[in-house]
Order: sequence, then structure tokens, then C-alpha cells
Amino acid sequence: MTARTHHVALTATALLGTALLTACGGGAAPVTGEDGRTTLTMATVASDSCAQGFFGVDQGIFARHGIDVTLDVVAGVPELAAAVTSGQADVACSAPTAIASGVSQGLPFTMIAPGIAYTKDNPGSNLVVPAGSPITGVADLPGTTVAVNALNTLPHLASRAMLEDSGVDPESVTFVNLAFPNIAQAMETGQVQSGVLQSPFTENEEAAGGRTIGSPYDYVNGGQPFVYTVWFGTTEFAGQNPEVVTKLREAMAEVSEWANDPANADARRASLAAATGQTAATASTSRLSNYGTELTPESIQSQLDLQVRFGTLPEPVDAATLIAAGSTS
Amino acid sequence: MTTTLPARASRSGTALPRWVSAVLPVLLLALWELAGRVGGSVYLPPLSKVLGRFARDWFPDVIVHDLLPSLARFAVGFLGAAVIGIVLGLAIGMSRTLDDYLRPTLEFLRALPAVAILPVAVFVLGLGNAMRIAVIVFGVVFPVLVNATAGARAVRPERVDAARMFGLSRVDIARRVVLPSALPMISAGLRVALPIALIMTVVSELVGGQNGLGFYLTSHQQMFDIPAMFTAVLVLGVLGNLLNAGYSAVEDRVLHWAKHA
Repeated sequence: MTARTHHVALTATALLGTALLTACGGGAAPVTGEDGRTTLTMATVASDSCAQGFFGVDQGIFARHGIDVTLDVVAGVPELAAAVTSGQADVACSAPTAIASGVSQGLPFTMIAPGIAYTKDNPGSNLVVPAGSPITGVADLPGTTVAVNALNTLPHLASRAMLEDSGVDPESVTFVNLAFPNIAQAMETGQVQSGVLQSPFTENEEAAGGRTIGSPYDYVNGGQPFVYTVWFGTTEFAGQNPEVVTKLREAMAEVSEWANDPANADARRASLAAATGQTAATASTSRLSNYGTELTPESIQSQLDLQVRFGTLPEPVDAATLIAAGSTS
Repeated sequence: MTTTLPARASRSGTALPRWVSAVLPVLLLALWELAGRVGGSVYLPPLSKVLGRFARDWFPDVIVHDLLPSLARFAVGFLGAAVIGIVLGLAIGMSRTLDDYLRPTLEFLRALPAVAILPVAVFVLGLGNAMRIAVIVFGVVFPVLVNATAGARAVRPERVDAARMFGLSRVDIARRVVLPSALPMISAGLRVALPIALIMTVVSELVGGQNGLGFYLTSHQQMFDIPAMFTAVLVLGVLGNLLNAGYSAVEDRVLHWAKHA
């Protein structure tokens, strides 16, 4: 019966094109050997917003904290959740909004450590128009099409908040989802009139004459800092390994501090270039974001409230319930 | 590549009662329900939950917002490709010269996985319906074209010669002699193309979409809404079968003479 059950489940899920069910339930437990070292697989995407994994490995920070990390670089955000649910990875990087959506649908996710953070002077996400665009501000957007990298994720929700808070009806703007590398071309060919870009795509577009007309993320938390990527695992993993959660949290905080230090900018760009396949020239012009050092409920709550506001979460969620306990708290 | 008409179930003899064929699907659905309830996995919601979700969300919102636009693209793409495939196929089947000119190009295009055309189509045609319909047409046109060519080539030469002696123009020969003879083959090609059209409809809606079944699937995937994803999968399965049954019914009426030819 169990075998048949799994078979039906597999067939049905495969139909959806998701790899969510490659191993039914339960993450692969990290191995902590007798020497106290922990072996951990970490899934991430090759972008600055989830790049702590690369820095931590390259700088030996994880190793110093007794964690031997294997990095599993996947193509896109949906695969990150799949990597964790299937047990392919112990932890992965994703957006708090995605974790909250998953949890509200019954997925066993919990957040462990902060990833990249928004600050007013370094928002990380920008609304960009191409060279020669007549659009100069949010008020010019009605009737146009805006590209975002995924619908119902933070860039989209924050853009809607930006429109609404600026007195523009969000329904008057069409949003389409396009991968970051495609947005610039879609703007060039006139298929979309603006796009929400992140580094290094923002810089590329600006180098080609494009202009940033605002940051949608200014409208997420009233301009106050917040964390918009996080490292997460399954509740089972975090529940069974509180000491690993704490160890990883401490290591991640050190990675963030290292990466936030301007003195390490060159080393950080080199790691990023190697991980993303960017040329050194592109990496050298990329705006470097700051990483969060502590994952507090306050650092993610505003995004969950935004999800409720625009109906992608059915009811309010307390951010504190989405953060793993660890061994010391 | 030629396709033959699928074999019909024998209408006489020791055929099992009709209801037998319904046993397996019913059993699978029951198993789904059971697996969903017993397993308790969020990745496999029980059938009843999926159906409940279907009843709640689809009437009329999802039908109006996603299903109807998909069906419209499907219909335009399929019919457009059918016309192009039949006309071009007959022309190639009737003309050796045209065949020599076009064959290498068409063979090359036919070997391209239709899905691979999607990123290119987005750049060339944008994100609107033109791109989506073009992608469907590209996927559908070759099975129709190949079969129409084969059908036209299989016409007995004496029929064409006789028509020519009666002074019919090439177009008239194509219309009155070649097309009717090639119809069974063309129809087989159309039948093969039908599920391809449905696949390409969904595929074309995965990129830069704002509505359609493919868009519905991906947008709910991003929100981990697994019951909603299953409603779309169910609808696509039923839709595929309805289209096939509908096509068979039309084929039976229009081409009943060819079954015994």
C-alpha cells in the first residue's frame, strides 16, 4: 500500500513539473560526527541576495564554526523549496514571503538565519525604465506594463504597495513575470515599459541609459530596514538539531559581518563573480547589498503584512512563529 | 513519419462489457483519495479536497479568467496550424519541385522541439497572444503537414491524370481529387496534433503570462498552493480527453466512409 501510495503521489506530482516529492517527507539529517563537526548541504541560487553560502565557504567561516558545507546551486527559487522538502539539502535560501506562503499551505518550513537586508540608501531592488522612456515617476505608470521576476512575490507586492501608496490604482498597471536576464530585453523591444531589477541587472540597465525611478521596497516597511531573503529548513530538521541551528546562525552572522565590511568588498565581488559566472567587470560595478546579522520577527513581519494586504496570505501570520528556536533562545 | 488511424475496438465478438474500461480510472481516483487521506502529505491532497477547491474557485472565476482564454488560444492555434499544414502539405505532396525546395528546411524545423521555440518567440513576438498562438501553431503544423504530404502523395496517379484530362486546374485537382483522397491521412495527423496543441497552449502560458491554465499552474506553484495546482492538472486531463472524444465523434461522422476504405 505504501509503495502504491507513493507511486500515485509521484506520478501526480511529476505531472505538475515539480520535484517536490523526490523523497517523501523528512530532510536528510545533518551528520554531526564524534569530533563535533557538522556536515550540511546548503541549497542556494547564484545571486547576491543568497550569496552568503559562497562567502562562508570561500572564507572558511563555516569550517571555523565546525560546519562542513556542501553547496548545491539550483536554477531558480521554486527549486530551493523542493531541495529542502526532498531532503536534497538541509537548508536553503529563499524569501520570507515564499516561506510564509508555504507554511500557510501546510509545508513544514522554518527560518533559521537572515539573508540580504533592505536599507533606505541601499534598497537592492529598483524600478527601472529603459533609455529614452517618457516615464519619470510612479504617476506615469498607469496603462503600462511592469516586469517582475515572479508574481505575488515581494517585488510584485511591494510595487503594488508603491502604486497604491502613491495614489495610483494598482489595477491600472499590468504586471508580467519574466526572469531577470529577460527583463532588459523586454524593455528594449517595448514589450514592457519598466521592470523591477536587482543587482547587477540594475547597473547593466543604467549603463545602457536606463534610469531608476524608485524602489518599491521603500513601501514595504515604511523605509525601515527589513530582511528579504532568509535561510530556512524543515521544522523537523530544526526541531531535531537545535544545536546545529544555533551553530549555523552564529556562522551566518559572522559571514554577514564579513560581507558587510567594505574592506572585504573585493573578495566578496570575486566570490560573487565566480559563483554567478559574471565577468569581473560586471561584478566590480555591482552594488553590494547588506546582509542581516540577526533574524528577528520585526525584520520580516512587514512583508507578511503586505501579503495579507494583497491577499496572497489568507490571514495574518505572526513572524515569530516562522523562526526556528535554536538551542539557546 | 506517417501516422495511421488508430485501431478501433472490435464492435463484435468477445469484447468485454463497456463498464470494464471504467474500472481502472475509478480505482485510480479512489486510490488517490485514499493515499491523500492516509498519507496526510501536503504534496498529495485527497481528491475530495481538490474537487472541493475546484467547486469553490473555478465557477466562474478561474473558468472566465484562465480556462476560456486558454481554450481560445488553443482553438485559434490549432485551426490556424491545420489550415497551414493542410494547404502546404497538399502543395508539397503534389509538386516534386516544391518538395525539393522545402524539404530540408521543413525537416530541420520539424526536428526542433517545439518548446525550444518559446524563448525565441518571446523576443520576436512579445508576450501577447500572437506569441502564444505562434508557439501552438509551430507545435501543431508539422504533424498535419507531414500527413497531408503523405496523403497527397498516396493519391493514385490515374485519378489525377483523369482529372487533368478533363481540364481541371491544379487548384481544382487539389480541391476535388487530392484533398478528398488525402483526408483520412490528414485526419490522422490532426488527431496526433490535438494533444500537442493542448501541451503547447499550456507551455506558451508559462512565460510572462497574465491568464490561462499554464499561468494558473505556475502562479499557484509559486505560492505552494498544491490543491489548486491539482485542479488545473485534473482539468487539463479531462479537457484532453474531451477534445479527443469530440474529435473522434466528428471524424466518425465526416470520415465514416474512410474507415473501411
